[in-house]
Amino acid sequence: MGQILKVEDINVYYGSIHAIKGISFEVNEGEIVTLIGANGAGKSTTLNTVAGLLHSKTGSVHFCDEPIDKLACHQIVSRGIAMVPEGRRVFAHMTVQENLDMGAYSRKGDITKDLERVYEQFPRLKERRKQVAGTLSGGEQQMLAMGRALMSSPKLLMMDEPSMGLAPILVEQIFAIIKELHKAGTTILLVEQNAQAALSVADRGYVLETGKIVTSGTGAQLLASPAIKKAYLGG
Amino acid sequence: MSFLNFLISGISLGSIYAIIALGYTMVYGIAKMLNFAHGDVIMVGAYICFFAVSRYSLPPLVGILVAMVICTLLGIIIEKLAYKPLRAAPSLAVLITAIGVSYFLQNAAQLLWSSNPKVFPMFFQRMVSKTTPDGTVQIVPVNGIDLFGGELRVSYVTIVTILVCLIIMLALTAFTGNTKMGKAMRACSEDKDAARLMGINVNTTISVTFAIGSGLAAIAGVLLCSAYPTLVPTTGSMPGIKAFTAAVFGGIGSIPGALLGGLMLGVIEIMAKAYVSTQLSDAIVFAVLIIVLLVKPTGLLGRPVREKV
Repeated sequence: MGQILKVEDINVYYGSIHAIKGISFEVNEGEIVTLIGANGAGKSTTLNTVAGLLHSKTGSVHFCDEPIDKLACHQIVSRGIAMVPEGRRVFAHMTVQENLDMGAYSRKGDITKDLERVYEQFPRLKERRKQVAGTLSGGEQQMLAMGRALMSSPKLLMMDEPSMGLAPILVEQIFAIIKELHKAGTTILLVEQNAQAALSVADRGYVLETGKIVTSGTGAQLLASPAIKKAYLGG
Repeated sequence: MSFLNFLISGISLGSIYAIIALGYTMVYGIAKMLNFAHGDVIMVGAYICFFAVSRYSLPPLVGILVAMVICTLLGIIIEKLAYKPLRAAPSLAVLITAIGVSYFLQNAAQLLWSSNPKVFPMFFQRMVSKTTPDGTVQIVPVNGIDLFGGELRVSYVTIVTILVCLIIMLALTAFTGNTKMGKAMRACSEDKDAARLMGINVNTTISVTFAIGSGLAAIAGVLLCSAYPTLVPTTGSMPGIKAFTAAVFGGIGSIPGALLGGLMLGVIEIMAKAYVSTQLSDAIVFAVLIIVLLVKPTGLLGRPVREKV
């Protein structure tokens, strides 16, 4: 099981605000790793930096042993990192099918197999493939955002708050899908506010606080830790 | 019959507005900026075509192609030099820059080609031999066809303009609906960061948009000067403003909106000139725009701005 993503000492600024203060972590092949923490801890900023939407002033990001921290976002995608962004961000005026086509934008060759696989995973999307994405429900849009990211057949799938704003039953469904993807061998980096749910599916987790990693451990260790319980799991 | 005549010239003028409006609307849709230099790219296109045909005696079709190539390059260069460095700047800075580029192009044209009006050659005519009453055969140019025993006269320019506009609309609809680049353009116009995460190179997409808009501007310039053959460095500015109005009228960012807005603006303008007053025609056009925007602020086919939750 090799290391797929290695982040070393990144510092990210929004203007004069120092949002990420020297974060380092790694993700191994086949793992689910989660970043948890309160609002404003820097979880999304970290993912956006790996994806290339933001850039770090220091340190490095290595993906499959190659540095990617100087690359533009679209180049990183074609190396095999896909992200399901916070708030889903589906293309609301495009159809479900077109959204999935966009997911495969960086790929050459035939995509029908991947399309079939995504439709198999999310049968609801197949029913609505000619429908404009803006008319889908929140849960369906989240599935579309996940399906769209999977269309690039990524080596690493990053998800930013996939359960945000969804009814409890849908949250369960989303986490069931995450487990399935994991079983199928997809490496996942997951950012969640729902720490309980995230830690219960994760192999390992990192806890962020105001731009720094304060604790790390296996999912089970973090779930059992009294400090984590008190801070993030509500007692 | 004169009403039909006015309607046809309105549609023809509106088709030119529509082709220009496409450039405004596509660039706005994707780069979220108003490229006020677009009208002056039209003027450059018309000049290039004029010189290619009058001075270098190239056939008109080649002249148009040369103008398209040069305007396409010009559009890409303007975007790279003037707008790209301002990608993260406030929209007001970009707007002022666009106005600056517009004046730069007008003054450069004045310097290069002087402000003396050039008479644009007639492209759309054919030579017909006619026998005069005294028996000699003369070859005379005919620039249109007569219908209903001469009551309705439609010039070739009008026919060509309307056809070209239709072809461009159909081609663009097919392009944005079916091709990978076209879909990427739509994705960029909706959400640039999400488009980046799909692996779309947003900068390339914006360049392509400018290239298409400027290439179309060259066609519009040639059609405009074929219908109204006086060419000066400010030729593009008024049609540019009108076409911008047409784009807003139809709903800026929408391609069918540009067509609808352009046609309506052209017809209203010609009808106002014909039945109300030549001097007041522009006032009437803009009054209609104001009323439409009061009733429907996003324009006729515009989409309401979605509030992010």
